[in-house]
Amino acid sequence: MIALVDCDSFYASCERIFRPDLKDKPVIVLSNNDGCVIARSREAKALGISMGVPYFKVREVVTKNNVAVFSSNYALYQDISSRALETIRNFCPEVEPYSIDESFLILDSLRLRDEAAFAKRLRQFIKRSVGIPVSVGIGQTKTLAKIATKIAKQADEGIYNIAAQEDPDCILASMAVEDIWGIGQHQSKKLRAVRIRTARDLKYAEDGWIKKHLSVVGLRTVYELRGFRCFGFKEIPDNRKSICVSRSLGTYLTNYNELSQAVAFYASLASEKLRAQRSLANVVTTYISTSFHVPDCYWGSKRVCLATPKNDSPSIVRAALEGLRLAYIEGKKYKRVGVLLSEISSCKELQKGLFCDIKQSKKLDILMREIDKINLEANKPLVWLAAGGKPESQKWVTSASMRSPRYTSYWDELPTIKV
Amino acid sequence: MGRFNTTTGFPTPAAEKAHSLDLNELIIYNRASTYFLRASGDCLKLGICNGDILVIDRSLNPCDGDIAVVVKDDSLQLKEIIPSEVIHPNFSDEWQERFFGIVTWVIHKAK
Repeated sequence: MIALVDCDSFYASCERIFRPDLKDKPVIVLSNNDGCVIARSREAKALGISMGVPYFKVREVVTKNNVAVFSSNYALYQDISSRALETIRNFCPEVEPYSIDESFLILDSLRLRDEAAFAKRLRQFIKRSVGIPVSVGIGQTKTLAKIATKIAKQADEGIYNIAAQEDPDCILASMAVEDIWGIGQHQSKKLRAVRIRTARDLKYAEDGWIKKHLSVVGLRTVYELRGFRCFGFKEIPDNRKSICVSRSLGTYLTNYNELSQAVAFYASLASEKLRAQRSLANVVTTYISTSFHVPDCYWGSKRVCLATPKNDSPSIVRAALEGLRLAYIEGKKYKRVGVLLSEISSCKELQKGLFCDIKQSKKLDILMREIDKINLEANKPLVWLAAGGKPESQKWVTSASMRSPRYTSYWDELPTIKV
Repeated sequence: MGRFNTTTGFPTPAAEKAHSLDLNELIIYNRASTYFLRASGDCLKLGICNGDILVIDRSLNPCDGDIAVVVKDDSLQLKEIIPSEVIHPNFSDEWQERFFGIVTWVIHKAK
C-alpha cells in the first residue's frame, strides 16, 4: 500500500503554530510581493476567497471578516516542512517527499494489518509534535493514494483508504477526470471529447486508444487506477523537469537597464536552484509582462538555447538577458519577470561538447560552489553577478510587508512567552 | 598488507576520531518537535528570567512537576503540571487543544 501525507492549508497552518489566537479564524497567505492569495485556512475558504485570486479583489471581504493576512514566510514553511518529513521518516523508512507539503509513504515493508490505524497514529503525532494538521490518503498506487487524499480532506477524521472500500469504482465515478494526478488540461479535453469524464471511465478505457492519444505516460496512469503500480519510488507522472523563478515586481519598470538587472538577479537564483539539484539546463526562457489588470496587457517571452547544457550563473544570466533583449518592447510598464530553465539533464549525463574547455568549466564549477555555500549559509543572496545590480538599486525586489517573524530560523525572531 | 607496514616515530595518541561536545546533543531530544521560545518577564519560582530561551519539546507527555507551555486566553503561557493533570499517553483532542509542549531546558545568559 501507498500512503500520501498532505498537510492541510499548509502555509496557513504554519502561521498558526505560534499564534493560538488564530485558531478557528480565517487566515490567508499571499504570494511574493503580496500579489495573490496562495493559501487559505478552512475558514477563509468558507468566506469564498478562492485560490490564486489577486489580493486587491478580496480586500473588502478581508477587512469585513477580520481575516488574518500574511506575506509568505518561506523560512518558516521550509523549516516546518522538514520537521514534518523527519517525523514521517520515524514512522516509515520509505518516504518520498513530493512537494513542500506532501510526501508519499511506501507502506509495504511495515507489514501493517490496519493501514487506517497507522495513518491515524501518524496524523495525531504530527499534529501534536510539529503542530500542523495533515490528511492521509491510502491506496494501492500513488495515483489512487492521491485520489484517496482528496476524499480524506473532506472527511472529519482526515483519513481515507480507498483500498478498503467495498466498491472503489463508485468512488472513482465521483472523481472528475481532470482531477486525476498526471492528467493535465490538454489530456482531459481529449478525454471529455470521447465521453471519458470520471476516473471510473478512465479506468475502463481501452488501452490502445489511451496509448495512441495520451502516450505511454497516460497509459501508466490508467494502469495505476486499476491498481497496478507503474510509478515506483522516486517516480512521478508529470515530470516536467523545469525550474522557474518568477516574481511580480515591487514597482513598475519601464527602463531596460533596470529590467535587465531584475532578470539577471532572478536568472542567477534559478541557476542556483539548478545547481542545488545537480542538473544542467539546455534552454533558458525569459518572460516579462505588464500587469494583467490593464487593458493593453503585454506578455512577452523568448527561448534561448545554449550550445551545451550549463548550470553556471554567467551562462544562464547571459542567455536570460539575450531572451529579455528579444522580448522587450519599449514604453510598457512591466510588473512581472520570470526565468524558466528547461530541457534539464543530470550533471552525470553530460556529454562534453567538442569545443568545451574542461579546465575552464571546472574552475567555474568551484567558483559557483563557493558562492552557493556563502549564500546558503547567509540564507539570502550575499554574492551575485554585478549584472543583478547593487542592493540599494534593487527597488524592484518584492516587498513582504505582512510577513510573520521567522520564528524558527533566526534567534532575534523567536516567539515570546509572557512569564 | 597492512601489518607489514613500517611506521617511524611515535604513534599519534589521537588515533581515534576527534569528538567534541555538541550542546545540541544535550539539549535537543527530538529535533523535529523542539521549538525555542523567548521569555518575557521574570518568574523566580520557575527560575526563569527575562530574555531567557526556553527549549520546548512538543512530543513529551506531561509528568508531575513539569513546566508546560499551554494555550490560555488565546496566548501561550507557562504552567506547572500537578498530579491530577498527568495525562495518559493517548492524546485526546482536548489535550491537543490546550498543550503546546514541555519546557525541557532554560537557557540563561550570564554575561
